[in-house]
Amino acid sequence: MIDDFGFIGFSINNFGLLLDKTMEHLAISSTALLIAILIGMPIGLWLGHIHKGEFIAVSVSNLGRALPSLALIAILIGVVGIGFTNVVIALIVLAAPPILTTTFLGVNGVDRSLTQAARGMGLRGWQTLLRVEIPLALPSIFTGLRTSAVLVVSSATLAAIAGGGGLGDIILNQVAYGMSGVIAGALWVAILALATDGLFILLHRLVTPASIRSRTKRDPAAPARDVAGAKDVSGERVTTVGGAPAAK
Amino acid sequence: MNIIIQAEPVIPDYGQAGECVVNNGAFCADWFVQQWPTIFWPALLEHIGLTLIAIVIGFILAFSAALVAHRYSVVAAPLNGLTTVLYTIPPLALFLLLVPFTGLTVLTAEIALVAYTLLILFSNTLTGLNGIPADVRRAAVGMGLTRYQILKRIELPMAVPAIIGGLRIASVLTVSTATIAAFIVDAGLGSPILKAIQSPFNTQFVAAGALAVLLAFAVDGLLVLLGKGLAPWASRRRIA
Amino acid sequence: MMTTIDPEQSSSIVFDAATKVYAGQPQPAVDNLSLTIEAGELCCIVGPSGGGKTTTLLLVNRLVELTSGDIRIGDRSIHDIDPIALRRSIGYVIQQTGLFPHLTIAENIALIPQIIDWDKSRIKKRTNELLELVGLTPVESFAKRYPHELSGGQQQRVGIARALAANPPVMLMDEPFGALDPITRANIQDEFLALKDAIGKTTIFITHDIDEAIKMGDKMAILQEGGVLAQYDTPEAILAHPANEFVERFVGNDRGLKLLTLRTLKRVLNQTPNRPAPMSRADAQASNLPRITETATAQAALSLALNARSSAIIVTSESGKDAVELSVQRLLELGAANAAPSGTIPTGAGV
Repeated sequence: MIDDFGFIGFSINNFGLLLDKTMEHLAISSTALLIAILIGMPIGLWLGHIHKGEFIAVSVSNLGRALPSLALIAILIGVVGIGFTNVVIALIVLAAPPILTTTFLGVNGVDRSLTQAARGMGLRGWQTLLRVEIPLALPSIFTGLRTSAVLVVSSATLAAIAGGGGLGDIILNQVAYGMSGVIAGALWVAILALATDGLFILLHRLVTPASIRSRTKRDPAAPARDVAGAKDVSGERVTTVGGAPAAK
Repeated sequence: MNIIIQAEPVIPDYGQAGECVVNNGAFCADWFVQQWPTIFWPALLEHIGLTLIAIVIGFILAFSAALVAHRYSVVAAPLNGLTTVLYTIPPLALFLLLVPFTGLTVLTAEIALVAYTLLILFSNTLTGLNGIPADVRRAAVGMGLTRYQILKRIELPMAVPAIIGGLRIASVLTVSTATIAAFIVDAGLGSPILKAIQSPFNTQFVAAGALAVLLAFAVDGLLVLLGKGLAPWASRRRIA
Repeated sequence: MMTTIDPEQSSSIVFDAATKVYAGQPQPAVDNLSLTIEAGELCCIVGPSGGGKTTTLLLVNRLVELTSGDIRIGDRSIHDIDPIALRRSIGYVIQQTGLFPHLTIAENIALIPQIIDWDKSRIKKRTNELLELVGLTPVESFAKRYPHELSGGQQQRVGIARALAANPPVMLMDEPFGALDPITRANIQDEFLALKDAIGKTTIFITHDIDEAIKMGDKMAILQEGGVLAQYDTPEAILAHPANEFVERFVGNDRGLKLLTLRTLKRVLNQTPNRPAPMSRADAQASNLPRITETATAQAALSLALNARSSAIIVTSESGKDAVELSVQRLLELGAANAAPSGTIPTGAGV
């Protein structure tokens, strides 16, 4: 067996390196996540608001889940070449669907009587969206953001294949860094992913109005990735957003 | 022991390298067909094997956990937390963290793949079991069914759609994730992809990637059919 | 829909100082309730929300346990029987039906008989019998359907059939028709009345609707807030002689009119010592007065007179041969004839 705790030594000796790589990792991840939000959320909000396009909004997630990130990166190497851009594009393709789908389901699933009441009171469409639908859809939306963020951080590990940098550089390079290095890198990225998850849980809590928070607090094992409003026993809804791949 | 499989030189010359292959077109059908028995078919089978084992074991574990959590709700939150952590850790990292213990073997890959499925299977199963409408539960108790009878005749059958839903997601995910197993062990569809990445030969990884996607959809479709067969009552549109 | 079924077994239900106090609540939910429901009777328990009606019901099948006192079914205390066995021998119908969505109608009905190990042919026969009884025909087509394919009224009929499946001696019904629209409700009430005569089971029927209670019940038990029994008697007796102010307010200002719904013209005419003389054929034919048959209620007759703005009506006999002229005044006198109270008015019920 190898020196099991060599990774501790490695981490101490190469702290700077690990930190740099973590920063790279975060840079790739945040860029991708941000753009994915900019692409996915408006579409999800709009489709959810007009209550159309459910099949597409939901299928896009199913498709995204089935697509191995490894294959995606490989294909993009041919198209875009290696480097930061390749990886970011791949990550956007992976991250956007969950955001789109959960946003859609959240907005679409807002009780129609509430939106009708709002319109009856004289609110315009976008005002209803802003003041009624989005606040009520926040749990859903944040679930999607959380899923996507973890997914991105996870998948960015593969970035190293395409020369994208990040902690994958260490993990996939045993020749240079030895087993201890690989283990250290793996641990760091695991912690990074868990921290991201935790961060979004926190954000979720901060952002959700207290009144809604108590409403959506069901049994503690309600799937974290399940969507508010997707509770019926027929598997259909539960199927579509049950958690996006962490990295494939 | 190296973790990355060294890439083979590209433009595999198995005789007549056709024009498509020489130009590295996006997908050379003849080359694909030619290599089917040597590269793709074995990889596909391995991939199916990896996925199947992971799902079966994962399901057994998650289902048992869900039954326990259903009966003793205190354990639900901790189990949920544990499976969430396992799910959140990036697969590649998980594979590598296991390597010092279980080596560069299929076992390592399977342990990680199983760990992945747990959250989704556990969560969806538990939601299904707990999701019985209150009036149905009240009627069942009032009619004189024992706790076991309620579980067997009411809760489990009614949870089937949710369970199938979880299986679908978990299966698709596993098919996808199993491609990464190639970093550890030369098995599954990830292998041709990795091999062809270093000096990219498009057809190889496009084909392997496409096969993975198709496999995922096939598994999903099969599970949908299974779901319809096991719970015919759930597929009909609610009228009332 | 009337089918004769072999006379089913039924038992009396006796509440003996039954009391339920929930932990942390100052007031009992059911307070010292004592009443006897004879075998074969349908007793409607009515009262305002929070009055303890549902709790009373749940005490019988031990979904809620008594704090003190006893309840006996037949001669046996419910505490002498294992709760599961007890529940299997009680038919239970709830407002939302609680039909199992994953089972067909037939499977829903057959569930308890299956669990208590009836053989298949007996179960099948019983299921078909019950589907006919509750009017879900053709039986073969309904048996295979799933609950969500049926309308609300049909679903509740299945609920009733399911409760009757194992031939229990006692039925508990918790606002069974409350979720139905008024027209469906009226129909199913009528059908159930006919059914109840055919099967004769002892039934406790909870409702918050006083009109439903008057229509359905052989007896009514009115519960005040705090689960106190205000009055227990036939609907007629309660309407004619409310025991206290609460009951009076609860049955409503129009109890006089309500009372008229319980009395058919035939009955009041037969009961009166000075029955009006039959009209001659010629007079009857010549008259312009509105007509109604004697099987109608006194209330319908009064309503008819009001609509026609007539001070008298003609009541025709069932056979159509005889007719009697009745002034509205006389109708009121006959309709309001006092019925002697026959049930219990518990002491200390605020009289």
